Amino acid sequence: MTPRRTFLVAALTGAGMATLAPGLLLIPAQAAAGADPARRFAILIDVTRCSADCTACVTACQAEQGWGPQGLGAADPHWVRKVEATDPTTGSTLSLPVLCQHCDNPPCVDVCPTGASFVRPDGIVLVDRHRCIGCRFCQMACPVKARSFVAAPQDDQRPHMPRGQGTVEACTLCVHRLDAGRQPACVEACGRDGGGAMLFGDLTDPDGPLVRALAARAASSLRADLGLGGRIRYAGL
Amino acid sequence: MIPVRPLVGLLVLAVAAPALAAESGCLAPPDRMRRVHMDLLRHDRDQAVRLGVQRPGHGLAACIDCHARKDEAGRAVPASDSRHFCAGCHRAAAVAVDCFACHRSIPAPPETTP
Repeated sequence: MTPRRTFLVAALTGAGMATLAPGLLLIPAQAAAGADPARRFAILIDVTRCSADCTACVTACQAEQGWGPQGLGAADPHWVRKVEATDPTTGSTLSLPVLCQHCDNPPCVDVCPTGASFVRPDGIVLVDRHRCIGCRFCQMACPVKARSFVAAPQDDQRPHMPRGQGTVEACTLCVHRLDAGRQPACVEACGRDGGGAMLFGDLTDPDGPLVRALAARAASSLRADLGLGGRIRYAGL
Repeated sequence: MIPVRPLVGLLVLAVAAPALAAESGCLAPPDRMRRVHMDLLRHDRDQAVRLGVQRPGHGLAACIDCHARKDEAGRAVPASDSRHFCAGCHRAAAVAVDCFACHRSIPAPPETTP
């Protein structure tokens, strides 16, 4: 039987690897069709079209990703939640969905001790549960409380979204749908069952509906003062 | 005491497997899969999760879809059941499978597959 080391070296050399020195190998990066680094997905949320009694985005996310309340109160999973904002001077209220902002400079990635929080090549911020140790630093670091901890054992997970006790999770911007050329479930549901407040698109597409809408209307990130570059933009705040 | 039943299961699998390999659609012949399935899964999971490289048929869900074992009532048995495909060897070898702490261990109902 071929020893593993010999086999590996032979296999890698066959794949175009160069030996720089004994024990030091140069392995060419493989061009793989994965997340496109040239794209920057974002969502524009028109807060004026988001009504307080509508939870279509939350319901759709729960159905799509297989999470829901488990009777744990504040420790319940919340990938997206409806938040009521009240202006104390006038008493006027707004209702808006808050989810992972998929920041350009994500603090959750900065604080993660294991590299589980990471930015995909296309800018989507994700948790790699294979590496997550459940320390919850990212939960503390996130300025919009987008992340939640799976505190109870799970079963009957969605095949595209493994979830397990002891790991942190958040909105994935429905990467499984994006990779299949579809829109996130919340955006689809908002257009179908809600007020049509959410517009999904690519910030790098100058002729796309999202960039045109952002050019026509002032929109900002949540906690824009932190300079994190959140890519969930809110108009009408 | 050596657990006899799992060992018998292994022997039967070893004899029966090569015949299955040709039309099984598996990534590699059973003797290779038995040795390297964990490496294949680990490689593909990092590619899929971190880089978004989706290779149809290379994920754990595809393994589960094909290798599901059913109980008397015709329902797929979960990984906690000794009849589960993974449990057959992993119990005998006393190697814990962490995959199913998060991943589902039975095929998904068709309507939940995106």
